Amino acid sequence: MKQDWQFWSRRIIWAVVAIATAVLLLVKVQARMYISKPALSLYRAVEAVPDDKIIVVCCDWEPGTRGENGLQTVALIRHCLKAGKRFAIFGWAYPAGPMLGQQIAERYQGMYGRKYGRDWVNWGFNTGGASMIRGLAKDIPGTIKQDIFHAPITQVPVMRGVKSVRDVGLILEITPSSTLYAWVDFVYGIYRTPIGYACTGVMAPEAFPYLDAGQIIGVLKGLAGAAEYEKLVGYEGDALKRMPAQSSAHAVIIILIVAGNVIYFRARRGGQAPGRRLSAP
Amino acid sequence: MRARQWAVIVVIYVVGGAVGALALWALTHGLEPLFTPARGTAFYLAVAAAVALWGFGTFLVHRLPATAKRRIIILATFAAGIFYPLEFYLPARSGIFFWRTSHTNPFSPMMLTVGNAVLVIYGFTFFLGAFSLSLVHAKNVAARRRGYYNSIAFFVAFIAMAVFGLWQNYAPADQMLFKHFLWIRSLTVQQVHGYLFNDMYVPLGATLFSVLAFYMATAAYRAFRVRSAEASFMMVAAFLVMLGQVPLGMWLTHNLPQAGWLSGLRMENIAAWILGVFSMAGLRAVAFGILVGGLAMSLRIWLNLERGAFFEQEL
Repeated sequence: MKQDWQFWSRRIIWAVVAIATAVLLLVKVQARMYISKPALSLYRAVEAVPDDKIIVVCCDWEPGTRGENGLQTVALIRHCLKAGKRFAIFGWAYPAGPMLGQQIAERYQGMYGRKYGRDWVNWGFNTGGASMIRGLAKDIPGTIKQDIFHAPITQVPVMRGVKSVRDVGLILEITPSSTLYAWVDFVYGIYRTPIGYACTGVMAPEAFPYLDAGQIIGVLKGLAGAAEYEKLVGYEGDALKRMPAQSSAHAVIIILIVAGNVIYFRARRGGQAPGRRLSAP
Repeated sequence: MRARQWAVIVVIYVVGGAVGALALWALTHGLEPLFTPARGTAFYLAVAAAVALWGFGTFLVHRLPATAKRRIIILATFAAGIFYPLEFYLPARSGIFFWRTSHTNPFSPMMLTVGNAVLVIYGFTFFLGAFSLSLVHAKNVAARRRGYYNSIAFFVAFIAMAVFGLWQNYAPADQMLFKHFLWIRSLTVQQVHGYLFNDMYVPLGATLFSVLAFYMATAAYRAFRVRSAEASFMMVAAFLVMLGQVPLGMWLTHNLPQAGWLSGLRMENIAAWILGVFSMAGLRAVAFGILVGGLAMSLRIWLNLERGAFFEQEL
C-alpha cells in the first residue's frame, strides 16, 4: 500500500509540475519584473565600453542550459548590436557554445543593421583552460589566429587595434560551470579588465563573493537575470514570457514542501515517521 | 651492469644534456625561433623530423626500466609545473635577469609558445577521450551485453556528428550530399549538419536538462522536512530566496516602498540579503578551504609526494 502511494505520488507530482508549467507557457501573463542591482550594473558596464575597445562574449554553455544561458546570450548580444558595441564571440569550456552564439548573433544582426566581420566576429572554440586564457590576455591574435570561417584574425576589420586584453573593454562570461575563476585570476587580477557574469540560477550564489569584492561588475542570475536584461534592453523576449511559468513551478515546489511537511508531522503524531530515508524517484 | 643498461644511461644523459642546453638557450633567445610556422618544403621536413623524434623518443621510453620511466615522469611534471610560477611570481623587469639586455623576465615571451603546446596536449586528450569511449562501447557491442543497442546508437551519433561536423567546415556552401534520393529532396552538407546539430543535438540536450525540474520537485517534497532547527532555517532561507527570484514573490511585497528602511522587507531585497550575507560568507569559507586543499594537492603532485593507487602503479 505504502509502495503504491510512493509510486503514484511521484507521478502525481510530475503531472502537477508539467501542467503548472505548460499552462503558463501557453497562456500569456504579464510578468512583474524588478531590475536587480547586479543586472543594472552589467547593463551600464556594456553601455560604458568605449568605441576603441571590444567586448568578448564567452558562450561557455551547451544546449542543456539553453533555457537560461541561451536567453542571457540573446539579451547580451542584442544589447551589443543595438548599442553598436563591437564584440567577439568566444568559447573555451564547451565546443558547441560559440556555434550557438553565432546562430544568435546571425539571427539578430539584420534587425540592427550590423554585419559579421565589420561589427562582430566569432573567435570560435579554444581548448587549453587557464593557460590558454593567460596567453590570450597577452596576445589575442597569437592565441586565436583565425575566426570560425578560417580567416586570419588580424584581417577581420572588427579586430583592428585589438592586440591584447588591454584592448578589451568587457568580458561577458555566460556559463553554467565554474569557469569564472580563470578570468578573475588571470585577467582581472593582472589587467583589471571588467568582467560580467551570466550564470544559471543554481550557480548564482557562487558569484556573490566576486561581486562583493568588485572583481566582477555585474551578474545575470538564470532566467530571471535574462528577463531583467530584456527589460533593460527594451524588448519582451522569451525570458520575460517564460517567467510566469517559472514562478508557477516555484509555487508548486513551495506547496509540495509544505504538503510534505504536513504529511510528515501528521505521520509523526500518529507514531510513524515516513520519509526518513530518502529514495530516488 | 650489462652493456645495454650502460647504453640506456648514456642515452638518458645525452638526451637530458640536450634538453638542458635547449632550456638554457631558450632563456636567452626565447622559444619563438624554434616554433616559427614553417611553409612549403620546410613544413614537411619539420613534420617528418617531429614524427621521427616522437618515434625515437617513444622507442627509448619503452626500452627504459620502470624506475627510469618514473624519474622521467617526475622530471617532466616538475619542469611543467615550475614554468608558470616562475613567469607569474618573478618581476617583469629586474636586475636578476642580468644576461638579458632588457632585464625583462625571460619566461614571459615564452607564454604564447607554452600555451600553444598546452593546446596541442589538450587536443590529444580529446582524441584519448573519444578513443576510450569508443573502446568501452565496442566491447558492449562485441559481447552483446545488456543494452548493447545503446552502444550502437552511440556509434551512429558519434560518427554522424564527427563526419558532418568536419565535412561542413571545409565543404563549399553549395556542395550537395545527394540529389533527389527516393522521396528525400536534395540536401547540402551544411543542411545535414544543421539537422543533426540544431534539430537533434540542441533539443536533446535541452530535454535532458529539463527533466531535472521534475526530479527536483519530487526531491523537494521528500527531502525538505523540518526535523531540526538547522533544517528549519534552511527551509525558510530556501523559501525566501526562491520567492525573491520570481515575479510571484516580488508581487507579494510590491506595495512596499522601493527606497527607505521598509524597502528592505521587499522579497527581492530579502533574497539579495540572504545571498549577499549568509550564503556569501559560507561560500567564501568553502572556496577558501577548497583552494588551500587544491594548493596542497598540487604541491604534492608537483614534488612527487603523492602516493596512492594511480601514482604507485606499475609502469
